[in-house]
Amino acid sequence: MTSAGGPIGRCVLGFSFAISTGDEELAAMVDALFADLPPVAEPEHLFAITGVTDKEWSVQLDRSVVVDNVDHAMLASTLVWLVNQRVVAHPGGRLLFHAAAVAHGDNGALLAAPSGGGKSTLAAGLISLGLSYLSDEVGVLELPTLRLSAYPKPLSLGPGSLAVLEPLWARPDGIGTSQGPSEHQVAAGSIRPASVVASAAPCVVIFPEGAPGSVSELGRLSPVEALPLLVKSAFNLAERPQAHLDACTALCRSVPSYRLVVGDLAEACSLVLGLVGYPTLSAGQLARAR
Amino acid sequence: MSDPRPAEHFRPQIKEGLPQSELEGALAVYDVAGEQLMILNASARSVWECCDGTGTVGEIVSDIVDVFGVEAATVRSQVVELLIDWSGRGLLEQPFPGNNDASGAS
Repeated sequence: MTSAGGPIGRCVLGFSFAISTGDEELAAMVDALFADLPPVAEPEHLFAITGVTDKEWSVQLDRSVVVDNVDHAMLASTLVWLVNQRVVAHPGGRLLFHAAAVAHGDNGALLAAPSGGGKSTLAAGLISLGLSYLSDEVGVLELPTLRLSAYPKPLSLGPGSLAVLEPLWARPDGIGTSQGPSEHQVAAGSIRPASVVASAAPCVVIFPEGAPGSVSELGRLSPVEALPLLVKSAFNLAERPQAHLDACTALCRSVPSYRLVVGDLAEACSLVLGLVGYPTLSAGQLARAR
Repeated sequence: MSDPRPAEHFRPQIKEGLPQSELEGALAVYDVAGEQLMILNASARSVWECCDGTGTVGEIVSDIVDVFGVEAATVRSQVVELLIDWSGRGLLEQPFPGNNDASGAS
């Protein structure tokens, strides 16, 4: 991220960084991409983007090349991936899940599903409908408070997701959207301004399962049924296995868990809205969203 | 040829330090090496908690029969199955010794 005074630092979960480049258009894209991450005065790490050819870039981290010959169309996704890698590698005692997280006020919902399971699409839909954004891929559980913290990375949405989301939102173009051949990186603030929150208390755990063409529906899970699913979605349970297992158990014991069949996206979003105490979509709204 | 089943006189002992957590009467055990979670229901949990290295398989079976009032042959079969599973996952302190004694086989 850059400004007249040099790269702007960002910090997430203890990983602080800045991204520098001499290309103004690229700098603007990077600034917009990471705009939702909290600023920091003195970042510890520096990503430097330099041009290799007209259409390819090299990325250094702290003066070591980490990725070379990145096609311009893939640069945004590559930068998000590089930051992701470092954040997940150093969770600072937190328990991380393959999960999106959204909230209504202090009522947080953890949406745990494997990669490609539709978390980001569901999160994007929920943000557009009024929920606050914590993350689309990495659910962060603080220990011992068991609060959800934000990792408000850009949402990674494929072309198919954008098509499904279109009825729910004005498709963001230009700043805030970085388009690659296979996915778009969309800053949450582009979907709905001021949608990012710092943390929330989890009030529900949801395991979404994509089922195009099906009716969206919720199925309640017992704590004993939910625990294996939650443990399976944890990134780093083995780092502190007893503490992390205890955290998962406490979460399953204290908040309800559900399977969510995601057929129609608007219907699925409406079901989640109800679980966090947000007004659900009316029949008219659902009809307009299809 | 060695019998893969635990002998009646075998004293099973669960490895120390395995992450465990109770939930609604069941016991969740995390197999760190296999990165898998086991959920032990009430009866499996009873067997697990008996595996402290002091009791033999035969004594564990008797204890479970006393608690749950189930037929001994059924309990023995289930205890053996559990021990084979846990041994295979590396959750026991020691593997089963070679069992060539027909009278000790379960």
